[in-house]
Amino acid sequence: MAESEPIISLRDVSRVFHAQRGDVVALSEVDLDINEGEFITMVGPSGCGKSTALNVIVGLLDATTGDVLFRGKPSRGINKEIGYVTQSDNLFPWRTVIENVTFGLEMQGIGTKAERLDRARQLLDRVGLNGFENHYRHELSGGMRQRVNIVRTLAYDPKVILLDEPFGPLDAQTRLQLQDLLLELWQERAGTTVIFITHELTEAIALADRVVVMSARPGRVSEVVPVDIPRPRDIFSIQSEPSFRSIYDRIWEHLGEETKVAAL
Amino acid sequence: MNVYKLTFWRVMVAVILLSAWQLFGGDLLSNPSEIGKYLVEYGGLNGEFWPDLQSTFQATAIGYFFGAIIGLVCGLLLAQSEKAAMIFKPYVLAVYGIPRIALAPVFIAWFGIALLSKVMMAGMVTFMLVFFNTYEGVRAADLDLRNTARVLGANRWQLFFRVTLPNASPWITAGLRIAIPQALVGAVVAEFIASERGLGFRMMENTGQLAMEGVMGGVLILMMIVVILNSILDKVEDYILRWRPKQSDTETN
Repeated sequence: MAESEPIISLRDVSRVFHAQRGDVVALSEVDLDINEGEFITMVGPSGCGKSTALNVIVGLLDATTGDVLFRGKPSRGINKEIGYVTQSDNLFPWRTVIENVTFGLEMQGIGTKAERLDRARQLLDRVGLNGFENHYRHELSGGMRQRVNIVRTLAYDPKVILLDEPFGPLDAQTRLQLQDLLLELWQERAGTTVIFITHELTEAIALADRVVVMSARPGRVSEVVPVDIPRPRDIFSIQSEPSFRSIYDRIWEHLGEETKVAAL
Repeated sequence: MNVYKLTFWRVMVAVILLSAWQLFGGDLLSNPSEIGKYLVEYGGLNGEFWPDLQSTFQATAIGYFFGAIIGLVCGLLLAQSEKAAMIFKPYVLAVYGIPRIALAPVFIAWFGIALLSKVMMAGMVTFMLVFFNTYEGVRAADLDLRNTARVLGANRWQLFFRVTLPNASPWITAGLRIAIPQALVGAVVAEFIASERGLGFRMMENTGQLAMEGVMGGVLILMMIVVILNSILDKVEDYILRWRPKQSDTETN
């Protein structure tokens, strides 16, 4: 990966939530550099602050201490260069599929209405949703909703895309298909950086340039494991790659004992 | 049961009830043929029904219009401020708890026996329903959807018009919808108490003369108006909220 300035740096980032029964440290002194164009996956037990980390990076939450740097500069408030695909699809139910996809372009005033619709149609086509443009959320399956959710973020081409367990609730087959699709779309967008949270180790390895292993609460980075499997990768047979086993074992080793049950 | 059988039995129930009413109605209940005669005369081309309806409708429509607008604006404004909402909450609940009908005599005293008191009654009823629903709807705004919109680049105004408002639209529509028949009832109740014309006035006049066929006829007319209004409003609501899952859809999430 490029050796230039990292696109995102977390410097000693901690985040504390104040609750009635005492403070909860969700993130503790996280240090992480993410390079432009990199595909990062984050694994760790539930409650280890992975989602908090994404919320802090995009600017929905402030860090309690420490800094989030974007291209070397501290960023405050919501960072418009960063797209965020949340775990639940969060589609606007009163908008049709295509109106959901154009939402970001519309809010940011990009292109004419015709251009926006055109772009949305192309993307929907790419993810196999042509013919569903005018459907509403409740008329779609879970996998379709997640595809719309992803395409809604891709539509306005943010520099960085965060994904929080986007395939979590889906069945194994759909999951593999969407992983494959995601890799394809990422490879078409040179220079786009991805941070992808999952608790599934195979998924984490299959997608990533580097896997960030987080420890249980308070969440900290316990290890960063590089994945040297060459691209383009075949998602469907990733487990037969010669180095897969050793990478898997190395991540496994760094997941704290108490968290392995959750990761299984 | 097929459609024809269903219709048959429904008609049978009506026939039996009406026959019983006709045979055993007596003076206080009147009977269907008397009521029918009254309705034909009252509702005929030169009948008094039309000016009565116009008067009641006018009061309802004007009151509804202003009540709805003011209710909508107040509901939206109050829901914007956490502090204001906290301060006003008990008062809002208290005012909402007043049986609305109990305000009719007060309004007659304040606004006289002419049109204005009926307009105010319909308006007040509408205001309370629309205000409360709007307020609740905006307060129930989905935080995740708001955050999603912010990340996608929505500014304050866009957030309000493109997320908060459509998100609250089921509540607001429900308020606007139930307020229509309620506004009518408000106007008619004010007419009962003191008035010179209108559907409610006519019923009171007939009651005063113990002309029960007129009173029953009035009840029947109000019933029909509300049923017709409701069926129109169902259609309108279905259209506005066409993005919502139907109740027959099993998958809800």
